[in-house]
Amino acid sequence: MIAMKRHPSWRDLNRLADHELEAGARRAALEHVASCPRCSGTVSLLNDLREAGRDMRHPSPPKDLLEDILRNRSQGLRTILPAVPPSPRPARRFLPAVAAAAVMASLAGLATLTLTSEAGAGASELTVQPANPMPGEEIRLLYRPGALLAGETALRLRLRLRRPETEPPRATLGTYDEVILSPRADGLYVGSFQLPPDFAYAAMAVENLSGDRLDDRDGRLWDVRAHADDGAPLAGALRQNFLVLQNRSWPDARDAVHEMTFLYPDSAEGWSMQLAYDETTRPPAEMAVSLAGHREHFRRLDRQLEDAEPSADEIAAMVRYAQALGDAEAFDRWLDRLESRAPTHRLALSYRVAGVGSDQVDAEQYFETLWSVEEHRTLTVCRAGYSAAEATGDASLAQEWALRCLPLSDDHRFTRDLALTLVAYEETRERGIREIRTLLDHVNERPDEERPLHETPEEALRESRSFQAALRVRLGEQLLDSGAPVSAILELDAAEHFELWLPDLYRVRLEALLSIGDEDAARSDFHRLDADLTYPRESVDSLRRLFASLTRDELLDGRRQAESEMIQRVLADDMLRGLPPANLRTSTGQLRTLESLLSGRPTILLLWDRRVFGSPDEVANVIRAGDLLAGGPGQLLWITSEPDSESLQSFVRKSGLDLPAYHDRGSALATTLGEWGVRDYFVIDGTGRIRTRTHSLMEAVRHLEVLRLGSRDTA
Amino acid sequence: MHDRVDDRRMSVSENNPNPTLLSRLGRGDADALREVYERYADDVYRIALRLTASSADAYDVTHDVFVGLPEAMQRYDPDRPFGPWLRGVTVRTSQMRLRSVRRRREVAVPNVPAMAVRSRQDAVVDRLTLEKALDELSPDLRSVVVLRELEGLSYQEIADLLGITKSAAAVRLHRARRRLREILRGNR
Repeated sequence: MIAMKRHPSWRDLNRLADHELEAGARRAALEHVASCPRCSGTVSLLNDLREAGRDMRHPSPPKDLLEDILRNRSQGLRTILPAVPPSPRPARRFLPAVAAAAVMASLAGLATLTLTSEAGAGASELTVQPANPMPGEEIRLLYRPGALLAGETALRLRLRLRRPETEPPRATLGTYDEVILSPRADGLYVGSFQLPPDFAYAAMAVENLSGDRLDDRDGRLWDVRAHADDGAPLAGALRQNFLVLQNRSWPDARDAVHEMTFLYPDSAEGWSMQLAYDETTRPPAEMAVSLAGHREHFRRLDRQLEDAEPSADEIAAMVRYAQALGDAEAFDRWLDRLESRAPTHRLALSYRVAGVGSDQVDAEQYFETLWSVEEHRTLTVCRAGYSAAEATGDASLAQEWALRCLPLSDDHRFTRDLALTLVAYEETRERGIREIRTLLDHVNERPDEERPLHETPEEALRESRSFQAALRVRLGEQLLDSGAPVSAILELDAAEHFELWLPDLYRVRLEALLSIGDEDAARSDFHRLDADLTYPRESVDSLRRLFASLTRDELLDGRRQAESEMIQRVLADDMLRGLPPANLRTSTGQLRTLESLLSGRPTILLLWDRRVFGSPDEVANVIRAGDLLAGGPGQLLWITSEPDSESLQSFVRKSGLDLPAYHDRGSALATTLGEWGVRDYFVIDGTGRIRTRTHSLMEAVRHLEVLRLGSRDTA
Repeated sequence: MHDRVDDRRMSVSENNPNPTLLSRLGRGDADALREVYERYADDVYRIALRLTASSADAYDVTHDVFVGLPEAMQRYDPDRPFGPWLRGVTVRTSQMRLRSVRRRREVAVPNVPAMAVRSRQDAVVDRLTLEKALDELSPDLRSVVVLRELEGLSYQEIADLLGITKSAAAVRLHRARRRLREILRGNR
């Protein structure tokens, strides 16, 4: 047994008294306590607290209480009781460390934090030592691979480190770094990493050295938070934790924000985030109670911060809080304060962009004034200025801001948008085309550190090909609109080389070819559009009139060839993954297995929560998808993490959705599938395998149709 | 050192009441409410009393819990045990009560049951001192101490009841004890 030479921390003494300390650390602590008067006094105090609690009597309620209750109820009195949070929470788990790690921890006097992945990678584990690291501290990482990464000579752990003020949720945000994990005889891979002094939160993924196999903890990523010396997570860490998790796991996000308001009750940011969370998750009756409490917190913070000197982020949080509570006076007051204290704060800028509709001149002047000051010429200000200019609809203003932003842009998507703005107008078209060509030439040369943590290099390459093809189609469309059909056709042919199925490409090229009178060449694109179920039939019908000379056999042959091409291209990247088992709850409260709901039918799983931003806008597509699949073997299955309620039913009735919602309790299925809270569609074939996942419902419908065509051809 | 958590566990039965009884309760049946009250009122009242340290507040909390119980049954998951769920409702209701009432108190009123005789002469803390010290804690900190020291719940059970993570429950408890230690040192 190894006795601890230094005093155990207050936290460890508490855990010792509560029997929550792990065996090795417990033995060492006990030996220390036996010979240390100071620590034994602390443990005695903790035991005395417990003894004092034990001595209390068990009282009974007064005899008249029951009659009081029954009488009041019979007279119509009702109370709204607070909700009890669901338990247990499955996603983030503090587990006993693996045996080797526990021994190491007890020798070093360190606690450990172990995170596990529950599927996909086959129960891998990542242990961080110490469990509650502080900024600037060195952490030790012990990774136990699942079947996916076992036996590798070494592994690479990729990190994205966020500071307290980093603004998620961009997937590539945060400073990139990596650690090589070396194998040990016991099968664990180990490495260490020095956390930077401004560290708040890190998201991590592990992959083999060639990068073709990746463990991203089923899409949730591994993570570590910065702590204070008393073991509590820092406010900045909780902020990052919440902002990142709100798109990955509602229960984890809830935990993070509750920790924040408990540990930092004077943080306006915590309360404003909790209100945002409450608004999207609580039923209306509870929300009324919750709002009353929030108004009280807001008044308290309003008083506290009035004469203090809060940070810009705290002022911004008060702006958000006031707006969410509908307090117009406080909102104006705090927004004025934010603009005078930090005129380039993201929130101040975004309200100015939003204000274009009501006072365009005022918004323009605000951004021009900012831009006139050299130190304010940043990418953040430029993005906002460009967005405001776009919102005004003033082409020359948008071009001017696009030209300002191009030299600053570090994001290929933003550069694309700026360049396309320039292409749309004659006087800047040449510059725009030049920018797009430069972008296309270099998009494959992006450094590996820009690759999102959850993507393998192969997936990143696929994404890059898709980006390039779509950009060439957009460029072709702009060139056609500007009266340059031949240049447009050249761009579109270049996009075709990526061998992706792109209905927009066929539509634009067909128009371009017809505009130069090349009807024969246009015919192939017509057949492609005709073959695509998701392309509007009325458009196909009107195009068919343009090709009136085609015989019925020619139409059928052309369509069949196009279908073959579509099948080949759409199925080229199928994932063929197994579907995890899941239990889902119907609106009547019955539990059904996912397997029984699929019942062997090709299915599109709509992992779709109406509370997620933008989801209600998708209703029209859901209805259209239902119409397209009607009469065929395919079906839509709507799975949501929202429990059934009158509010949900009302939404279904008003929106015209004609399909039942199945409740995925605690987002268990969504989490297992690595769904990050945004709406996502999974195509499942008749044998229950996942064929693809996509953010586009029409792509999912097309995929399902292609599966049907493929099986027909095989038959 | 012995683990005394288990022998102080709440007496709320972990065996769920008959589903028919709970179904009738959800429909507002007065006889069902009476039956559930007779089975659980002691536990609800005791938790409320320990959390609020006031028999008047405990009376009100117990009253509110049972008056609102039939409607709250819509949120009860029949797959989970009823006793712990009711315990959670009671804790939350008590916390709300405590937050609204505490501001009105000018002097802490340890209106708690009579104290038993101390058995350990050399103890640093007696129950009266503990009661006074507890009353100086915020509602959140008081809750974790009561649930741990008086009700004997584990970190995980406390976390589940309060809707926080296990580590947050531990940190909260450690902070509460640190605060209690400061208060007790000031008292001595």
